[in-house]
Amino acid sequence: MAPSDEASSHLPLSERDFRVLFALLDAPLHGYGLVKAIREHSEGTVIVDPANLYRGMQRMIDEGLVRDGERRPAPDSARIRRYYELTDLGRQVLSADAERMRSLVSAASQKDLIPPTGESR
Amino acid sequence: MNRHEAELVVPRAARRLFAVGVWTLPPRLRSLRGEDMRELFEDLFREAAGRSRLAATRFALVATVRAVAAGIRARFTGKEGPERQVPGGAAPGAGWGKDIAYALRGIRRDPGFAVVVILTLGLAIGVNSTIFSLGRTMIFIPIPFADQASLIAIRADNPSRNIFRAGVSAPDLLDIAEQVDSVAGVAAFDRDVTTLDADGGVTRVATMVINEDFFAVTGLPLHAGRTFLAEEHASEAAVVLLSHGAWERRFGGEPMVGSTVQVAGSPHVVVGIVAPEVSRGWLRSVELWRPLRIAAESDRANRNLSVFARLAPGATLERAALETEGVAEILSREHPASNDGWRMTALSLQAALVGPNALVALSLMAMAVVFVLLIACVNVANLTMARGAVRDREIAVRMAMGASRTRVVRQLLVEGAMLASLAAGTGLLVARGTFLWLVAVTRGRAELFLELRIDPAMTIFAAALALATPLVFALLPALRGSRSDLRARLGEGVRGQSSGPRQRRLRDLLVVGQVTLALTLLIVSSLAVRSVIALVSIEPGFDPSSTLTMWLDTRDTDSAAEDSELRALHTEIVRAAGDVPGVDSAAVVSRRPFIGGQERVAYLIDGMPEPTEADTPRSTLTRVSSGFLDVTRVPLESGRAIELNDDSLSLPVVVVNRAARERYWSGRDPVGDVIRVNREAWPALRVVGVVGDLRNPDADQPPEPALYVSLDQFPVPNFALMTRVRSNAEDHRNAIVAAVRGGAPGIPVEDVRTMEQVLHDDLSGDMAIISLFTFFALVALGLATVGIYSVIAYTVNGRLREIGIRMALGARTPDVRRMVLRQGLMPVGIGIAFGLTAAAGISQLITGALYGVTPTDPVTFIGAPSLFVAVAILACLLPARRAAGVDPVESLRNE
Repeated sequence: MAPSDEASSHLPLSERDFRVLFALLDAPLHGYGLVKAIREHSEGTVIVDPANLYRGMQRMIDEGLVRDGERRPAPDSARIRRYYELTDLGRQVLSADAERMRSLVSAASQKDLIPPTGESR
Repeated sequence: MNRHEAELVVPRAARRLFAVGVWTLPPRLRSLRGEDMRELFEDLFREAAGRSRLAATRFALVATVRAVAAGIRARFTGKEGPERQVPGGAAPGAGWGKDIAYALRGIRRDPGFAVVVILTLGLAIGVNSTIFSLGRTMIFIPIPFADQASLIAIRADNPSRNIFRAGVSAPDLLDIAEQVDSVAGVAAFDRDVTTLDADGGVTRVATMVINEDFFAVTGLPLHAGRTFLAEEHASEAAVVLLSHGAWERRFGGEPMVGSTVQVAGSPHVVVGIVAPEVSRGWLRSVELWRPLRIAAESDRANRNLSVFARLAPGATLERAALETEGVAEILSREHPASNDGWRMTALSLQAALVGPNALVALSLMAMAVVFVLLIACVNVANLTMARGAVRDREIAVRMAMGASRTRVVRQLLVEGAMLASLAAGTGLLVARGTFLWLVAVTRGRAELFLELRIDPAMTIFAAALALATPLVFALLPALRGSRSDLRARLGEGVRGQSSGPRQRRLRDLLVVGQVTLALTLLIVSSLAVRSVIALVSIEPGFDPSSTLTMWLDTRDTDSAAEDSELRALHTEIVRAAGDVPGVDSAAVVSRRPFIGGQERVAYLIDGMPEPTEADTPRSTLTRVSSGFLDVTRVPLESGRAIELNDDSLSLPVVVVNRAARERYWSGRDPVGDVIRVNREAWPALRVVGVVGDLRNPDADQPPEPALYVSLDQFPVPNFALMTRVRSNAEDHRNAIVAAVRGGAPGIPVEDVRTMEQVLHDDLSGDMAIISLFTFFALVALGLATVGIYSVIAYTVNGRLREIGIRMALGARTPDVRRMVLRQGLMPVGIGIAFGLTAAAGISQLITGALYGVTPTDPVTFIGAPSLFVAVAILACLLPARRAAGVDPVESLRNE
């Protein structure tokens, strides 16, 4: 699938942006949920602090990749938190970036830089 | 997240810390995402706190530092997001980005330099911001008087009785208003306390009782309603104004002009609400305003009115003062009984509201902080020059590689600006911390400190100063670099021209200046600190430990109006308190030591010659019950104390203190003498005993002569209960208060304090000054030490080769060490000489502000320079050791 021009103008994503968008793929999350999700699927290699997380978040909101949703109680505590959700554009950018990386990975494996992934295993 | 974590409260310190980080972010980001950031911070903090306190602390610090870093990046790049790599070339403004990256790299490469510059300037800016904000707060009158320039104050002085800035009596005021042509109108007021029924209880509130023209003359604004009418003043009608705060707090801010409230037990009509901005400074605590009638027939000796006056158009303060003094002189001739020895004058509002002592303290502190700032600037100049050699070479390299002059200058500017902003930020934090700490030290009791705000003008001034110093010195290498011969420079090596004799002389001069300033400051500060310590350590004259006190006021309640009822009430309260387990003794008194105004009387002693007006014995008068000496442990010197049987049926007695005996009985034992007090219907009093002195609340004044009479013989409706308990007074607080409430139902119990708290509150202003001065002196000493060290260390570094040659030629280690020490200590010595001279001059100027220490106090004048020599030797020792350890072969090969 060829990415739209608009989506490709956002490429490449930084690792943190990618992780944030990726975490929002399944369901809208609030800040703390987001941090926990990123920590989990990055196995703790990506560390986010509140200021930089929201700095990046605000930029992605301005670019239309993320939408800030309503404030509602978080299920794991009684506190009210704002939930963030992925926009359609954000989803396109995320998949376009994943495509981009896949082509990089396959190029690298063709040169035997890394062992091939996927069906050969 | 488990329940426990969910309930953990994030400490305020952590939230504040992170708020500082958030504050550095661009406003748009802050307003859109600030709340989310804070919430996430708290969530993550709780999670970390679930692991350990250390983890939580570390998290809070890291999150804040990253926020500040993000803020700086965002501001400098003009972008709110983290920088993204843009494929295919540089984005607009990338040059600045590069400069910043380069500057950051420079700072990282030499973090010591950056940290020292930021801390040095930050501290200096911080203490300057504090003191100048404090000064502005002191001099600036926060109450919104209209046209302050033409508003003056009128006060009375009596130099022969050492009374200054007293109020004015009603008849005197009427004469002044009529006869002083320069005055267009007078605003007079008296402060009072009265009771107000509100939100379900009776509370005592601070009250302003004001004359008819008060609002017209001062121009203070109303929020709603009207001021009092002339006829309401004339009849002292049952009408009140409420302060905006009282209206909101106690009555919920409902419209209530025209409604009725209970004041002093009777219905009063609220005619208006005073505007909120009036409740500042010394009007902060006032909740109620009532009309006052200025009556020509009232007592001319009762100087109870504070007076402001509006100058007539075209009149000046000087003329008003002259005219007022003239009227006062006539009055003192016409009414010698009340006005002999009294002068009246007009002063500026500032002079009336800001005491001269406060101004002396303020100018001392201003001098201190300006010195700190100068020392800091000298330090930074020093460091930048020392670094100049390295920079020169680097700049030469960059220019050789084709960098343009503007480019180099711009990069240096960026670097200076970054250091300066960090320093200014540090300074604001220091200032904010000092404010909070001042409020804490004085426990919020000093109105002055509550008014403290970081002054925006001061912030700009501080930022400008912070920018100037590093910028000037950061630019020096660029300007030199840009006009010099690159090849010569590149060949010179690090040793270069910055260790030449001219540079060394300049640096030595800077050290001299720094030592002069720091030593002067150290000496003057320690004189000031020692004065305050001498003042605070004066024995109070009683034992404040394990003493709990409270204030009771039966006025404005329906109980106890007759003397007999008051007597019964006093007895009952003492009995109720005395029955509480753990209470050793209890007494009721008309005034607690160190709290509130003194009752004063003049009196004649039978059998002594009629005194002149100036020699008439005058003393404070305190009414006490038996047990007063047991509670306070004031020593009995002769005779006996006020006892239980000094009641309404027995002969009236008086106990005098030692100061009264020395002054009015020339030290002779007064027991058995009879005195007559100038109070209507007071009987003659027989002196039955002498007790020790209490410290004068004005600590630099000697104890005042005092009389103690029996509260049972001269009852008063408002009084204090004092109790001595067996252990910690705070532990008995609730039991005693409950017992008193049981024994005297319906009477408000207020201001429950231990005597230790009372003393602490009394001294807290002085303690704040001690701590401030100590802080300034330590900062100055610390900065000067760093300065001396850095100069000598740098000089030694620059001379390693020369030292190597000397050692190769046979100089021994001790010789080298001695040489370095001598060269380091020389400018210090000169600085000490200058500093001593300057300090001696300044301390002569402030003799009046010193107490218990002479302006040439030998301990200070020998101690402070010795300390300096010791510090300077230490600062030289490290570089000297380095020099002595030089391996001649190594140092020569290094070239």
